[in-house]
Amino acid sequence: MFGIPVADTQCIFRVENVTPVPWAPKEVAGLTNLRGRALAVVSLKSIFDGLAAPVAPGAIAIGLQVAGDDYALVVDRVGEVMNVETARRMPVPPHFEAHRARKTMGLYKVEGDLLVVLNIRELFEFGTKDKERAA
Amino acid sequence: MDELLRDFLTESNEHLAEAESLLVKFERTPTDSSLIASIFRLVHTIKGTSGFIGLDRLQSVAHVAETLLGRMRDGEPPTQEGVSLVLASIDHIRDLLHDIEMAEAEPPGDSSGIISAIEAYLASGSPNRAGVTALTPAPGAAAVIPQEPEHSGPVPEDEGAQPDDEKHATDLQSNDWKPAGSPLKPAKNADESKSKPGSASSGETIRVTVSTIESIMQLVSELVLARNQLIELTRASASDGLKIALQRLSGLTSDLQDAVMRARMQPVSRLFGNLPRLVRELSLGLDKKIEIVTEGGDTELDRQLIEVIRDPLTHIIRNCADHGIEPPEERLAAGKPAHGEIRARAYQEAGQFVIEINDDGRGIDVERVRAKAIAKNLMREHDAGQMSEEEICRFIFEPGFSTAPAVSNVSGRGVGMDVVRSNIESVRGSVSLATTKGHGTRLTMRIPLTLAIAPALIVEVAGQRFALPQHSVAEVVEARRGDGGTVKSVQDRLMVDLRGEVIPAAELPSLLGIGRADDESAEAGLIVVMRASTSSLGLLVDAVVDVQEIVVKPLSGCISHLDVYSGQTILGDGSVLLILDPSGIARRLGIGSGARMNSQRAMDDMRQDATRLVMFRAGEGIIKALPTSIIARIEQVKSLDLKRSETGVVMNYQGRLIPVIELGTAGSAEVSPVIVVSFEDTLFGLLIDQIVDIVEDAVEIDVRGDMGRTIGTCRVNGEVVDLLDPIEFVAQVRGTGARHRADGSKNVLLLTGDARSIDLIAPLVKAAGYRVTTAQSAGAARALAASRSKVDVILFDLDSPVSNMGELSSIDNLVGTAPVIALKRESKVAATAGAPGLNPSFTADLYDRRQLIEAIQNVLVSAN
Repeated sequence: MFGIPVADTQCIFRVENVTPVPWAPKEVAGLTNLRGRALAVVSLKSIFDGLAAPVAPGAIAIGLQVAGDDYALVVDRVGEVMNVETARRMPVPPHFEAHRARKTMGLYKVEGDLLVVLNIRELFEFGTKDKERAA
Repeated sequence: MDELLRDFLTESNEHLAEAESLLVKFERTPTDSSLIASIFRLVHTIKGTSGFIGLDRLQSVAHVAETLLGRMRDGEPPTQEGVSLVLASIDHIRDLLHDIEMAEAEPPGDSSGIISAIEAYLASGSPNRAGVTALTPAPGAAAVIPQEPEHSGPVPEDEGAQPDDEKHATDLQSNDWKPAGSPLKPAKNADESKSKPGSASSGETIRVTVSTIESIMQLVSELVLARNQLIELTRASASDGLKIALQRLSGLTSDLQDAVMRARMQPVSRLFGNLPRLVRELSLGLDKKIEIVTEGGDTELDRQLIEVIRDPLTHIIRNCADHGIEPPEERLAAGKPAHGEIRARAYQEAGQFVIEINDDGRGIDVERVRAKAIAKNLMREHDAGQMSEEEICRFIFEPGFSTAPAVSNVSGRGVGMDVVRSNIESVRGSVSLATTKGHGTRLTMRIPLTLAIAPALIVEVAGQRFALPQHSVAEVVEARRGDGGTVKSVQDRLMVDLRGEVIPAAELPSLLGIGRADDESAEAGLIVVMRASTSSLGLLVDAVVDVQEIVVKPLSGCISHLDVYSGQTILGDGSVLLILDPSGIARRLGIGSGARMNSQRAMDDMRQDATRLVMFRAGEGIIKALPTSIIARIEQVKSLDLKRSETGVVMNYQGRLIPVIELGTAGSAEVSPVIVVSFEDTLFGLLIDQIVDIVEDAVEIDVRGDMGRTIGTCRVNGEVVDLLDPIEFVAQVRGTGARHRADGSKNVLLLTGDARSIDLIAPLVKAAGYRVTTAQSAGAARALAASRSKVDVILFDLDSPVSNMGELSSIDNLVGTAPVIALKRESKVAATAGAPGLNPSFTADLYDRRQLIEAIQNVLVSAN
């Protein structure tokens, strides 16, 4: 179970048409149009397992904006909005793999389950910008 | 920031720009008192207002400048030094204004450097005064020395020598300099932010911030998109009333779009404004007389684009001054006026904004460029002969390319022109160069007029759609594959034969890594011919779906690094499309100046099917032909110079005697053509009757020859022609000859890196009754091996082996199956050298044709 601060999200919608972008990083499934704006479609799954994941039409996504860029984060299911006490936040466990640890803000215990809060600023770092700039 | 301060800064900067250009003009026409009066007023205003606001340091500098200007206004003739000092003070004031803008307060320090320099000048009283020491930076002051950042320092250093002052003063008084041809218009309300009523006449204006205009632009772009969507939606079903209203909306949107575009346009005189001063300083620094003339200053261009051109323009002018315009003595010696002229002209043409910079200097030495390009391995010597002057001049835009014999402070380091080109190309523009030796050079920059909204071709490729910017599309033609078709596969790459011009091509699907369902669809399709800066490229697509105006949006952050796309757009139907960038694609394919050689080679290989022949008459019978690759020269020889000796007919050729074989019925003619053949170290002449033509055509022997010296009869360019066998003559000159024949069912593969060998060996082996295929590289050999054709014998050229030798041994169908004959020409190269994996069963001498054909026969016999 993952969480994103509500303040950082813009909307939740179903992705219909995705225009694939050849040569794009594997995590980027393509571009989609939401009310006249083009969003980069990225599935959370591919961010974590590093493999390209096809996005089926009708997939549910969360619209976010990070550093001026618009993204549609595709997830399996969207649950409800919940309040958590920031004081109860647990730090990122030390045995998390570095790549995933970077994209995590912390953990909360919620209704017997553990909620992983995502660090959206790091979420969309695919390492491409640095690689290409260096080239 | 305090609004008063902000306004002051903006206005003062404008005043300074105007004062600067008026001052340079005044220096040349010191009799025009209205000019100096204006300049004085401008500086006076700055002084007054700065005092009022409390910017004391600024005021003190403006004050001394004003005093100096006052003297000039009162009739004292302007000296070069005086003008330079005022210009220096203007620069200083500009720097102070900049610091004030950043910090909202004056920087600490007292500008004593410039102030005392001017005071000293004023104190000396007259034009002929003691030399002024170079301006030194005052402690703690902001940049005092007046320089443009990249500029070397001619002005202050020159001040030191007194005799120069007098000389310059006299020059000015003698009115040596012509007044500028067309007057420079001072920049009208030139500022980053302005809005105009619409036409060129200066009416009322209001100041608008840049961000306001930008957001209006943005909104209009969105409006265009929404309108497109609406049109799309109502296309099928809509009431008439709705359609009419929509049409009206559409018209209004277009008009709004145009109006906002125009609001961002500014006259290019902004750029031209500081040219006089730049040229003045260059003239002084380089000791040349140079004038600048500008035309079309009121031509308008998008604000952003003006800034993009600024640096390239400066650099080009520097180059003209430094390398183009000659020193006065040289110009006079060449019959030109002592003053060099640089002319900058701006105009709009066909949806593009064009700036031409002409100079009447010495022009570019194309030979030197050619030599430098060869030295830098940018092209091969042999290609140089086929390139037009314009193509050779394009090398000047290569990084690090400079044929300047000496690097001066101003230019010559070779880092400028490539930056110029990339800057202009970054906004989808282009640069080109034309030159006439001794007369001058013209450099042309073209920039498309609109940035955000552009017409585009929508193409479909393997089921996906992409947008191609229309400005870079030259044409769209049908693709035809196979023999006689336009698309050919050469050396593992695609080439397109476009009405004789051969250009590299690429299939979008394979380039973009999109899969293709089946190979059949690759047969039909279209070729979109794109021009990317200096090179052309053909893109193979399935169909062109539409042509429409699209709103170009920048790429989303996570894909902005991909150079094959120049942006993205949303079409009227809501789909997101990527906009392809031809320059990026060309780069990915390795096309573009640096890799020109590869495409050049590929083109050569493609031409391999055609041979260049000389057609001539010699004796009775039909026209005869010889491949030009073995011909050194065609000489017109007087019959007197053909000597009959004991050894045969000889003639004098470049200092030595060479044997001449009489092919024609000459003897009666006074002068006859002699084809001088050069093959390895054998040089001889063929005396013929008359040269008919030189052509390039595929050679297909229809009838094999019986006579020793004719390979066969074929059709060349519509004529029936006897193809002569040069080897026969070589053998004759050397004393050997004879031939054999087979039945035409066996395939011989000729592996050689030398095109001439193909000319010589292929027809011969063909005529001997074998089918011949050739490969000039391992890649080509692999392609052949992969195809169905069987190879019975491999002829391997030891002296000019194919490239990529190491790969040959790994080609399965090739190695081990067919017997190999190594060909050599009396070289000392060992039989097995250079042929790893290929074990020649026989080595034949290229000169001994009988031996070669016999070898092929023998080898085939033992193989069975």
